[in-house]
Amino acid sequence: MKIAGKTKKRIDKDFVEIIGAQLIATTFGRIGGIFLTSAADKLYLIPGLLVLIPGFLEMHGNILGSLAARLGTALHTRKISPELKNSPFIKENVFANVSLGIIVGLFLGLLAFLITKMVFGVVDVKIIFVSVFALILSLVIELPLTLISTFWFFRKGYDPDDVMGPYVTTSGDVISILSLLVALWVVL
Amino acid sequence: MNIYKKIITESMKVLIFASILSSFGGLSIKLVEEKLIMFVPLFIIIPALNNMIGDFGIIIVSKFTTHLYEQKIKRSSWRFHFVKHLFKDIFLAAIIATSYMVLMSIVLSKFRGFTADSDFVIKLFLTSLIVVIILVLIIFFISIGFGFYVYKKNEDPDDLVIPITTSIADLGSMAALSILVYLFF
Repeated sequence: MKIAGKTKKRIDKDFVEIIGAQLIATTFGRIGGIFLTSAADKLYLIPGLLVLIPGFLEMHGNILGSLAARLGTALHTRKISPELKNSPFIKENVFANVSLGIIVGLFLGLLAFLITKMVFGVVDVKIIFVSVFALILSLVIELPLTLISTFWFFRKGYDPDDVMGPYVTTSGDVISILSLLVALWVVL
Repeated sequence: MNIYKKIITESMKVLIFASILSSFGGLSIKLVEEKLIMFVPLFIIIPALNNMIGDFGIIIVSKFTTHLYEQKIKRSSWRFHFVKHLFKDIFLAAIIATSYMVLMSIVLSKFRGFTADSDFVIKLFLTSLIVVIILVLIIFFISIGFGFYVYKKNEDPDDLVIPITTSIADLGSMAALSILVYLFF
């Protein structure tokens, strides 16, 4: 009876955290959309940028969502302490995510370049530089943000598994679009 | 195997696969582009739905993985109390968040000069709800089934299953919405 009550309490808490994070993410997610709309004219300056965007935005959820999930699991299983320290686990996770970001950024850029060349017959290598530069730039901001937030939520009694998914994808969308705009400004 | 090598080995292939899927994801939307531009709320709701379904994928996989590593689940079974309750939580959250999203898209589109009649609102609500229910069901079953399979193979579901579920959410929501928009509007 006591166990059932405890589980019910935990499930209720989970539901509140999931729906709360989702509603906040939905509301703030529109900010990314507003940035994109306001920069719509710049998106045509480099051929292939529109091909790059869906994959580019998706990657942040994939790379950082997985990182937050790994950290969440490690915190729950007490593999790491709730204080953010320079442990080998954290260091290797950070290096792995930076490496993945650079490789995937390069791949996405090459893919956008090839699709644009094959479908539209346009050749412009700037798309590859924009992809890699924007991915590195966004990771520089998002990686520490994801690390700090996961530990902070855990210490405050929230389950990172419930809140970090919506948090990472929403902040990722906004930061990614800003990074793309900065990369465009640098490259053009 | 050290953590760095494990993450790179497990994630690389699936991330490359997800990149290819996402790069082609916009093609289905292109087919109903004219209808989307005509109906502003649809244009607003698509990225939000896309993100929301992906978010649920991340939540399901990370919670399930934590339970696996905590040894609270020892075999793949849908009858586990945790799995049943996670399903209930996600399903209920998906319905509430979808209703909120529809309402938000109607309000935001009003600022852009689009006035929705009751017929349109009902169609939009039903379309969004059908897409979300179908995809949440698919993602839930893949996350639990494939998550358990990956874990048994001594690989981390957080690395492998999250990119798969977000890609399914991405492609699935665009494809399903395109079909429903074509049929309903």
